[in-house]
Amino acid sequence: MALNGIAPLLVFEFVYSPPVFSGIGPAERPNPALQWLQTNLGAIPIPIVLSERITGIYVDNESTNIDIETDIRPRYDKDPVTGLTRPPDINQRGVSSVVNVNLLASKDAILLSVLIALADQILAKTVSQEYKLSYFNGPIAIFRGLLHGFSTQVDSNDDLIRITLQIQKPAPNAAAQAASVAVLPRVVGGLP
Amino acid sequence: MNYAWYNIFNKDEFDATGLVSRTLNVQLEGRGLEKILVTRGSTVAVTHGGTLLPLSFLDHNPYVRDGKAIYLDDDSEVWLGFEVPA
Repeated sequence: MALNGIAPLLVFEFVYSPPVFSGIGPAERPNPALQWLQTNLGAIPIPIVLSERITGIYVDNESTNIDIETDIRPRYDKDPVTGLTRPPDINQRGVSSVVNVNLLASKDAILLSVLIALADQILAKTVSQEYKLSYFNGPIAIFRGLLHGFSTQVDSNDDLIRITLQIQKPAPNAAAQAASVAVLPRVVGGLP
Repeated sequence: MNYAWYNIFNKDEFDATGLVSRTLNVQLEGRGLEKILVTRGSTVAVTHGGTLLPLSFLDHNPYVRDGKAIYLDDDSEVWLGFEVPA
């Protein structure tokens, strides 16, 4: 339990990206101090406590899932010393590291509409990634992750709404992973 | 006009494989991860971002199109160039 044992916590954060002013003169640009504040302060976090008692939404179960893609490329060239075909190139790529959270809520839960509305807000911001999603529940803590999926399901034979929330963990070492692919240096010059 | 050149593969080695096509996933310095398709037809060609760049096309070496250039040097190294501001 997070919040010092009170309840799991889900935090939405919508990041503000200031416009780029590369095409206009310095006199027309906004105050640099104001730009710095807009860039670094971001938005106010919106926490949702996942407690049946407080908000009417609670965590039914949760699971973590790490998916890795393995690419095996056979080689056609031979080792000049042994005369044997070289072993295949094996490349691995991290596909996703997702935490699945299944939530239950009653149809008249106080913050259910807010949760659905906030998830809808994310859809328009997926490309720019101008949002962050944090989730804390016991040993599982995701800081500023991304939404991988969101769905709700209503059954006719009860008054519960089943919510599935999938949060993609951020990849702080993504740059290092990308660098593991062959890096070709750049040479700048005119046409030969 | 300046170009940022990247040595993407060796034509002799590609010829030796006998492959018809090969996709190169390479990290180009200053540009990031790029997917480059190398194909063999009547000539070897490189496709990048929807632009087809045949090697020595009509005896033009380097061959320039849409701000990109392909160059085959004397060592059979293939260089892909991107136009950059001088």
